[in-house]
Amino acid sequence: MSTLAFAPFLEPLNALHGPWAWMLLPLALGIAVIFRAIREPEHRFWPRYIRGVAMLTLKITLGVLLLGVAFHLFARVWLPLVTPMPAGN
Amino acid sequence: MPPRQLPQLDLTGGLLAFLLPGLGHVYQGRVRRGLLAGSGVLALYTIGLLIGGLSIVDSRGEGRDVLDRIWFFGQILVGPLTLVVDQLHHRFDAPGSTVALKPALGKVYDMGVLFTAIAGLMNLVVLFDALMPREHPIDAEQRQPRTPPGPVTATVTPAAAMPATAMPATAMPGPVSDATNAAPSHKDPA
Repeated sequence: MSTLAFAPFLEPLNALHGPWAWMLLPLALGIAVIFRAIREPEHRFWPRYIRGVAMLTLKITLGVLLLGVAFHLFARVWLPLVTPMPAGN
Repeated sequence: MPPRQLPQLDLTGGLLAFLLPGLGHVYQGRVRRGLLAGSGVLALYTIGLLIGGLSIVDSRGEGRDVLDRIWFFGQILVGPLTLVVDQLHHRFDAPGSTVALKPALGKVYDMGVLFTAIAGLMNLVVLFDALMPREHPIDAEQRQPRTPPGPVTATVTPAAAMPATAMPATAMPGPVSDATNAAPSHKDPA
């Protein structure tokens, strides 16, 4: 058996070590598919549902991206300003 | 199939929703919602297992930080399926097993656990919707017969339909006649 073969469910998908952040998109889509399925009215369901899923996916993705930017600024910009590192470090 | 009359609290629907994601809604006649929500939960869960493998569902947390076991409480919300996966994990991980189960590490472990735990939490939302079903306000409005817009017309009251002879003087339609409907005066006529 080739060592490169991937056995689903028995071993992890190690190819995602690098591009793990892209998994945010299917995660956001999955949450939106579930949430909008129970929130949309029966009247004109499909147009509302598809639009709702697209909008919620976009909102979750942008929200997480904004949180990431905010945490980055907090950790890499604001914290070094308020707690300057000693010289030589 | 039209949805049946939804009760305030549907314990059977809630139980079925826990047994299999979306089954509670299907039982209530809300088949489309049940299929969409259930397939969404199962898709998230399956993607999580594909990313991290069976080893990410671990009720015992052997060899891991105690805090890692917290994620199992999110995963178990998917239902008995998680118990089956957990049993498979420990069976394959047991000494002498012919199946080689490789543990997930780092970001792959995190992503797998995140997908499966969020699938469980979303199933909790679906479960509560099946347990306490509510009709959407737009659907309730659509069920109401609409009145055509226009000027407000006088409605015929039972009193107006009565013959004038049988009608009490105080209920007589039209201009009030002083002779017949004069209010009792407290003034002394003298």
